Amino acid sequence: MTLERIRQLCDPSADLDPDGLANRPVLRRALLRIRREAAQGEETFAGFSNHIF
Amino acid sequence: MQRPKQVPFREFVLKVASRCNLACDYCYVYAGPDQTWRFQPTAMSPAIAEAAARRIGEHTRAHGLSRVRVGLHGGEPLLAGLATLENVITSVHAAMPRGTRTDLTVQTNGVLLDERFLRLFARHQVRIGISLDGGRQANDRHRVRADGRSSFADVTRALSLLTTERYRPLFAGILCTIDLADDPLDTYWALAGYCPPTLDFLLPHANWSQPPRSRDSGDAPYADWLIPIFDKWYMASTSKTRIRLFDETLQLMLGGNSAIEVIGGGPTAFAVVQTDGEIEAVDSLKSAYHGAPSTGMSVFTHSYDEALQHPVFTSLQSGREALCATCTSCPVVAVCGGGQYAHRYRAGHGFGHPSVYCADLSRLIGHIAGRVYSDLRRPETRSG
Repeated sequence: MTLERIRQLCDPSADLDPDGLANRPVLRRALLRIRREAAQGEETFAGFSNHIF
Repeated sequence: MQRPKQVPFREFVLKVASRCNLACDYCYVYAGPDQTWRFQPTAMSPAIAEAAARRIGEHTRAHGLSRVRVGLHGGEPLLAGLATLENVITSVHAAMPRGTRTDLTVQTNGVLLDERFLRLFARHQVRIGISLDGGRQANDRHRVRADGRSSFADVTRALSLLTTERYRPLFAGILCTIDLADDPLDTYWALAGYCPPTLDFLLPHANWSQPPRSRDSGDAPYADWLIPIFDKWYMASTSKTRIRLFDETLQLMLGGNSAIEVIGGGPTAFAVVQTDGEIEAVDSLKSAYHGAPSTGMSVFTHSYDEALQHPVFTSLQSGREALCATCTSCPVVAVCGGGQYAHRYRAGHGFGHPSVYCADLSRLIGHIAGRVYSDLRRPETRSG
């Protein structure tokens, strides 16, 4: 996981704490998904937006 | 110039019906510049369903895919009727290689969704997405029948059935097209009240030649509409409903990839089959110009590998390599990816532009990044 995009958009010199992700359910879920996809070697692809899957 | 690496299709959208029982005034299929639906058969015949399924199986086998998605779409897919739908579903299952996981979904306006359809979808484990724009007033502003009658009562009746204990496992979520005239939080609460697993807010299809409605309400009115919903969703102590646009934005910010074409700029990996068997690209291109998603290829005569070589698919799979200089030099591009491909179009100039929603995407992403940043800053660096 990288937080470079947050730094890039907010503050290039920011000292960010990845543990802070645990404080928000939606961030925790996002992190778990990144780890799961990395562990399973899943290649995420850009899917069709005009339906819910 | 080296061609970008192509990725196999992993999602297949089958247009099982080409007509609709609603007449939504924003519809990109019927109310837009592409009018090819007029020449399509009303429903997918068994022969076309079987040919499409064989092509999906062939492609899955050729690329060793362990998992594919198949979406039943329209028009209004339930207009195809029970027998056609069951034939399409069983054809797909029969054609898939052993061991491949096939996730089937149907996206419906819900008007016809009753016990008979629910039993069919339950039998074949087809998950169901509903299109609904909020409460009655919001929904009926656009999602009405051809004679102007409301669709709201029928859709809410369908949702009541779908959310019963028996059928809730089939409930995939709700798609809502944004109208700035609606209050965002009222819309959110109206839809969240059904406890959908996933909810998504879609930007109305628009481009530089057909700009979004209500551009006079601020310089980024769609971001201003979405931000209050994001804040409520993000700050909640529990999160039962995923909001797809926000989830995918967070994925991108944290170093992951987006699973949706509207953000992130990853290569699209899906193809559409029309009711006559033509293989097409993403149907939102219909909002650009007549025939934009067409390939002239058919499931009877062409494989999906051959379709991948068509210029419309090579363009869609170019991802960020297809972006204009304005986008590639912008720091937000790492998240927005240039936005949805169809939204970059300008008549006579093609798709080499920022999204017509560039200001909205930029403001929304900046806001989300700011929220995440404030949560991740180490205590000693926080001010105040």
